[in-house]
Amino acid sequence: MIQLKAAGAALTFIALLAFQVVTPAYFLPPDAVIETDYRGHINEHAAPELFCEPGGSRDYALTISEVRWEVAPGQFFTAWTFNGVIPGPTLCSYEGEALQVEITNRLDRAVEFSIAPAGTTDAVAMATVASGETYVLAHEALPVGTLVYSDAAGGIDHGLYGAIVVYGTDEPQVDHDIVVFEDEFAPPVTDGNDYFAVLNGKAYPLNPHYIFALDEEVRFRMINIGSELHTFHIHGHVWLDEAGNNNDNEVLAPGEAVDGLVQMREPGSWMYHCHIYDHIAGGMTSMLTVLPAGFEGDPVAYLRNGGMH
Amino acid sequence: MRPGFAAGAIVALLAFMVITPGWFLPPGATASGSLLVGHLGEHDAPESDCGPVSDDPIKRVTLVAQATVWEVAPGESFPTWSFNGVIPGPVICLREGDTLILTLENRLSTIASFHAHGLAREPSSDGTYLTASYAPPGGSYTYTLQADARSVGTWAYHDAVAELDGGPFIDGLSLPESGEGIERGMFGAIIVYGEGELDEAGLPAGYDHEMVLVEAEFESEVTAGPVYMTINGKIAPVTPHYQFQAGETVRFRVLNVGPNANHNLWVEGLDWRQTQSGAVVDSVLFGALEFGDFTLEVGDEPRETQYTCSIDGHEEAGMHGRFSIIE
Repeated sequence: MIQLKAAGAALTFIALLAFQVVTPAYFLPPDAVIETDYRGHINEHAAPELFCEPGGSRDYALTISEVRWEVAPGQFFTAWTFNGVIPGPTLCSYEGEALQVEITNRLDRAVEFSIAPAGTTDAVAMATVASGETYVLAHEALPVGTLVYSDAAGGIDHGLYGAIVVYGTDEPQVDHDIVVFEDEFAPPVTDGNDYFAVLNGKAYPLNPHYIFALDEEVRFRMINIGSELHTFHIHGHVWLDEAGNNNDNEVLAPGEAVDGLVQMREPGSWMYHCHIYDHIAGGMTSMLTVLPAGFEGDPVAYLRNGGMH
Repeated sequence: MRPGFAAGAIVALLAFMVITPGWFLPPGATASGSLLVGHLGEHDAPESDCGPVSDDPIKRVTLVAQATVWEVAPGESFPTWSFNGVIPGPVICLREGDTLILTLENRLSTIASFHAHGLAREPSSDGTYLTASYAPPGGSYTYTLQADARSVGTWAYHDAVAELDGGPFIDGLSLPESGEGIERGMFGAIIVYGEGELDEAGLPAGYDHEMVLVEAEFESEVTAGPVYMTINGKIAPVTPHYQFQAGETVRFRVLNVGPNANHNLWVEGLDWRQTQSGAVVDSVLFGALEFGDFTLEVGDEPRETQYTCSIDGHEEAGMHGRFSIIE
């Protein structure tokens, strides 16, 4: 009887194998649809797009956990994330406001949660969050500018970082405010042997495709969170950099952070990328669209239908 | 003329050339093969790689993308690609307000493009695959770009689409810009002069000399041999030999065209003053496709020194040269 069952199981197995060989498509997932991550000027908006409005709540919750992170189409590795995404959500406050972050650690290791002004390692707040614990970190008033929250105990290489934007009271108005993290994911973090150079945690074409209206002024808060030098080049646009030079390719050493105020002066779809070709090959390139003058309608639908290409 | 006499004359001439090579070198070249540039004799006007820049607001330039056997040092050559047969390609010199009309003739067996940094353009003049602004093999493409107020400074131009296998690389592939052309030598400098930066003759005002210095690495995949770390397309000892007179002020337009490595530039005992910001540094560090514009006061002491990239292994791979300050 046992022999018969074994033979039956073997036959079923062979039949299944044969079926799989004959009809391989039956076992494949449906055709992957690459969802472009459109950001920026998506809908009508009368006010500048900022990370938070004045006077709102500054209570945030961050959950640290492992996720299978799709870094490039169909390519995954086990990443450590804040709220399941790399970078973690951008937190925001205004000068002088208290900010509270509830941090829950679902990793099997402790996390050294740290907040430091971008481009520095001078932590202004720090807390150890043990595995399985929740910690509430409160800060009276963070310094104005871009800050980085991260795991100072080695988690950055696995994706544990995000930004905090603190607006000054007399902050110059821009139409859009954008955080761009530049980074690499390399073995052994990526499980296999693959190397990825990423913009906001993703390789091309999964990284953000920005959309802006003509003449809009955009602040790019560029942060190199990786261990290699990166650059940030936008085709067709030149801006006055922090050093007072005309620039179209900002260079950021590892750990460096620079702001660029860029006016969208030329309609069209433009590439933006790190100008190190080994990094382009690793996926560190994407697109930026400046809508034509007087554009009305849904920019995403327009781009999906082949507009501006 | 009897054939025997002609043969004899040629042999004699060849022998004379071998014995007295300096006699046959072009002016400016030294016996070691490095090009002597800078202060070469009496001159009452500034010396610049641009020469006098015309005040015609329309500048027409033709570049030819072509296969080139490039001699990186005497006896060391490799087949590669260039603009106009030289690496770097010709310097493009503009004034603020100019329009550049650039025609690219492509004699390569792959598509080729002209992508400029710093200049304003419509997508159709971007030189990318996505905008189809490239020249097909055997064909040509014309680009129109403007030098506006934001364009003033030092920039690079380079190919952004050429691929060794000749095919359009983007089909079925996810990379929208190719580095193959720039890796093989398809790059050059663009200078845009702002208001008041040129004198009446179209020469740089306030400087004795203006020099363009381009740093680039050629990898083994390109050279089918060693890695070459080059200055203006050459390795030591045939990199430019700079010669300046004590007390002179020199403007250096420095470009790192990568395509991947960081490079720096260092002259013993001299400081570099960033022309726009005024910041003073003793070594200039560049990431790939970073460009800078520096003022160098060479000092009052005549001496022999050298310029070099001090990043590990770069000097050994050729990235240095002679730097003389004469009386």
